[in-house]
Order: sequence, then C-alpha cells, then structure tokens
Amino acid sequence: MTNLHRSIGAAAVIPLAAVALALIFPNQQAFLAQIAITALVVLSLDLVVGFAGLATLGHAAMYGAGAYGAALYALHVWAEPLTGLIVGGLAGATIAFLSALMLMRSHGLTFLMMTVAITQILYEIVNKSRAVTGGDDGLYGIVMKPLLGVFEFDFYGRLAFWYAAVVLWLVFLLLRHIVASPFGLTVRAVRDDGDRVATLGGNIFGHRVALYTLSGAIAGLAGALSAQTVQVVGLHSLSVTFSADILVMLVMGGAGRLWGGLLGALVFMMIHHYAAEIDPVRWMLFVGAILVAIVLFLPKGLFGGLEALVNRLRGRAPA
Amino acid sequence: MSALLETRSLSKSFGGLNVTNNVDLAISSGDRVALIGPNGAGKTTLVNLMSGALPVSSGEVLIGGDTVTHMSQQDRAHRGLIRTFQITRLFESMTVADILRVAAVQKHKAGLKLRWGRARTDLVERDVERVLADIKMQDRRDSPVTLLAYGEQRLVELGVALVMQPRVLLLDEPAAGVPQSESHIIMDAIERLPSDLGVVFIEHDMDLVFRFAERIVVLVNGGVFATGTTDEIAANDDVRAIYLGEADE
Ligand SMILES: Nc1ncnc2c1ncn2[C@@H]1O[C@H](COP(=O)(O)OP(=O)(O)O)[C@@H](O)[C@H]1O
Ligand SMILES: [Mg+2]
Repeated sequence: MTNLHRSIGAAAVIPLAAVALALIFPNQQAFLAQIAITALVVLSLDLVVGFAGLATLGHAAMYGAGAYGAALYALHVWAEPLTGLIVGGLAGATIAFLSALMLMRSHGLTFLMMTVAITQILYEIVNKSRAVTGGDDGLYGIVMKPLLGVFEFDFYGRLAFWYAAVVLWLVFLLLRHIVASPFGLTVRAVRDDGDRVATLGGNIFGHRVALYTLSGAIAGLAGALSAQTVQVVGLHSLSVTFSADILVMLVMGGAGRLWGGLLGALVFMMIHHYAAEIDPVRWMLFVGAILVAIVLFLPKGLFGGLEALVNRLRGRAPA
Repeated sequence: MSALLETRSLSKSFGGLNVTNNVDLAISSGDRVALIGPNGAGKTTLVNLMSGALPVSSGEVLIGGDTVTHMSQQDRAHRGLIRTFQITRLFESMTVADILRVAAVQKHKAGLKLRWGRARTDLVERDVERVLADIKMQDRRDSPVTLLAYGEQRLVELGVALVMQPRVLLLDEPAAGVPQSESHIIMDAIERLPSDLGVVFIEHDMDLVFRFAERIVVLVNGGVFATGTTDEIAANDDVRAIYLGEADE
C-alpha cells in the first residue's frame, strides 16, 4: 500500500463510518450528532494530552467558550451557522491563547491544577453574569438559520449529524496534515524532551502556546456545533466534570493518536447511551470498570489494542 | 578577531559547593580542545554554563565577542553554539531519522511551519542524509531509537549536533558507553568536522585525547589546573601526579 493509498483510505474512514452509523441508527441522528461533536472535542484534547504530553482537566474552558460564544452570537447578532462556527472557534482560541500565556511555563501537577483553576474561574464568571449568560439556567431558544441558506435544521437532528460529521471530517484531515508537519514533529519532540529542543534553538514556549491555541480553536468549534445543534448551552459545558469526561474518553481510545480520540468518543458515548438506558443510576460503574480494564490491559487504549491485534493477525511484530 | 566562545572568571556554586572556579577559556575557529579532569571536577557543569543550561553564579560567557551570560540556550544555539549530553537525550518516541529531522527543522527555523513544501523538505532531508552517512546509520534510519544499542544511541546523539552545523561544538564524553570496537565511528565523525569549527570535547580515554586534541585544559575542583598543548600537558608532572597517574591505575 502506498502512502497515497493510505491517505485516501484514512480520509474515507469518517465519511464511511458516518454513513454506516446513519444506516444502523436511523432514528438516533441527534445522538449521532452528539457523538461527532464529542469526538471533535476529544480530538482537540488529544493535541494537548497526547501530542504535547500535558495532562489537563481544563479543556472545557475552550469548549464552553465556543458554546457560549456561538450561542450569544446566534441570539444577538446573526443566527447564521457557519459564521457562528467561526465565532465559536475564535472564542475557544482566545481563551486558549490567554490561558496559555499563564499555563505554558508550568509543568505536571502545577499545570494540571492551573487548568482546573482557570476553568473554575471561567465557570464562576459565566455563572454570575446571569444577565448575559443566563447563569445556571443557561442560554436557550437558539434557533439557527438554514445552513448555507438552504438546509433547514430539522427536529430529528438529521442535518445536525451531517453538519457535525463534515466539520469533524475536515478538522480530522487538517490535523492529520498538521501532526505530520514540521510543527507537529517539533511538538512531539517538545513532549519527549523540551529542554533538548531548546538546546537546538527551538522555542518551547512558542510551540506550546501555538498548539494550545490551535487545540482551543477546535474545542471552540465543537462547542459552537453543540450550541447550534442542541440549541441550549449550559454551565456543564464549562465544567471540570466535562473536562474529566473527555479525558476519560481519550484515555479509553488511546492518547497520542488521532484515531484513538475518535474511537474513545464513539465507544464512551455508546456505552453511556445504552448503559444509562439499562441502569440510569449505576451506568458510570460500567464506564469505570471498562476504563480500569483498558488501563490495565491496553495501555495504549482501544486503538492501540486494535492495532496490535491487526498486526498480530497479519503476522507482523507490533511496532 | 574575537574568540568564538569565551568565558571570563566564570564561577558556579551549588549551595556552598564551588563547582566552577574562575574559569577563563577562549575557543577560536579551528580549535580542538580537550577538557579533562577527574570525575566530579566540574566538566559537565562548565558545559552547562557555557551552553546556558545553568545560570552562572558570577563571571561572563561570550559568543563571538557578544555577552550571552543571561541568554537562553535557545538563543545561544541560534548563535551557533551546540552541545551534546554525557547521558544520551534523544526523543524517545521517535525513529533515528525523525530525531535528526527534528534537529534539521530547528536549524532551518521551521518549527512553527505547518507545511513541509518542496524546498524545505529538500533542505531538511539533505541534512538528515548527510548525517546518516556521517554516522554510518543509513540502514537504521527507521529504527525506533529505544531499540538501538547504547553505542548506536551515542552516535545519534552526536548526529543531532552534526545536523546543526554549529560554529562551536561542545561534546560531553561523546564516546562514553560506546564499545571500543565502535568508538572509531564517533571519532571519525569528529575528525571529519569542518576545520573552521571550534570543538571542545570532554573525554577520559587519553589515547583519544592525544589523538584529536591540539590543546588540553585540565580541570580540577572546578578550576583550570593546567592548560597547554598536548605535548606540554603530557610533560607536566603536576598533571601526571593529579590526573594522568590516577587514570593509569
Ligand atoms: N545541579 C547540581 N546540584 C548540585 N550539585 C551539582 C549539580 N550538578 C553537579 N553538581 C556537583 O558538581 C560537581 C561537578 O559535577 P560535574 O560537572 O558533573 O563533574 P564532571 O562532569 O567533571 O564529572 C559534582 O560534585 C556534582 O555532584
Ligand atoms: Mg560529566
């Protein structure tokens, strides 16, 4: 298989999976849209956790900024979806950039604590700014104009799903390109040994800020998609709890690989959906048990495990 | 002409311990200087001070006549000062070629670029190929670095510095941990370095020191104990007593 074939194959996975999911779950398109949006935010988290090696519990700050930004824009400025998406991305990037200036000189536990602190400060600001943000009632009554002026958002979430899936697909293709770029290579080097990159003349701080801002922009896109398709934005989108949830999804799927984030979001959301239907009270126990099993038996997550399995079936030694 | 690299009364103490004591050194274009001295003499610390890995306690560091005492490692690297590490520090998730590529990307100031592009790819790959040939590791290019023997990892450590084509190169025990049978690959690569480059290398193997150095600086307890040509140092009784004698045992 040539690199070109592999690239085309990889690019086809998301569209094919989207069609398959739409056929298998014809009456659950709104749920599928949620999966695509969640996959997008997990993908953005993977940039920080997997590629830059920075464990964070504050990723919701950017997702929430995108959600509130897009919601306010739709309510007060213009309910056009694509410009709203851009507003969400910019909101996420802005929060990420400003917090990166504070965050990116710290490491490890200090970094982790600061991500929590920044998220909680933002949460409280939004919570207290009731007049603008609706406080703990959130923002609702978001009614979007047709996408591209043509496609109406429907009650069943059909358009929502395809809209989210296309954005996810485009971002995924962009990230595949970026991860393989000089910037992506340097980011991984900084993760492995930042000081060593500095001895070669690399600007560690600059790299981290740029990466965090990029990640924040994507998280902001996801937040905007959520606001536009669910039509409600609540404080949960800005919470440390949500940050932890998406971190769990990433670890389940496999951090450091773009596929890992996608798989993790899909599996987590499916388990959540069905386990919560069977037992709405204790479904988190299922998730916990599965997570423990993955951490113990599949240190590289579901995707790492899948890859090892495929390699074994092909009779190749694992890389 | 001012020296490529200079230290003036350079000192460093950790708590009460003076690890670098009033060191004056000047490295010029084409110099091959061996830095020797017993374990714990402060050789690595001196490299750390010159490269900017550690802040100085007092004194000055100059590159090309400019004071860089308070400049970051990154800025000193841009001024052509590159060092290697006594204990190999490579990007452990990467293959040999990717590690060299990381260095080449920094050299061409492309670390923030989102596209390779034809021209940049050519520049970077030319550096990578040149160094793979230099350290004779073309057949290892796609090996994950963690799967290499330690001696091979030392070669890659040197290779990273070779990619950078510095003006001054500080090599901290480049052959340490390399089996005797392979140390000639390292030494050959060092010997092929451009003649106008200033090289400081720390080395314990006196055969290698006498073969490659033109000048020797003997460091004892953080201070320059003796300095001179290889012949002068070889004939210096004090050095023999303190250092060479000890190394012979
Ligand atoms: N970061 C540090 N903190 C405290 N002491 C140090 C530190 N780095 C080196 N030293 C001490 O400085 C002395 C010189 O160390 P080093 O420069 O590594 O010697 P050499 O490379 O000549 O073997 C040693 O006694 C060492 O224990
Ligand atoms: Mg040392």
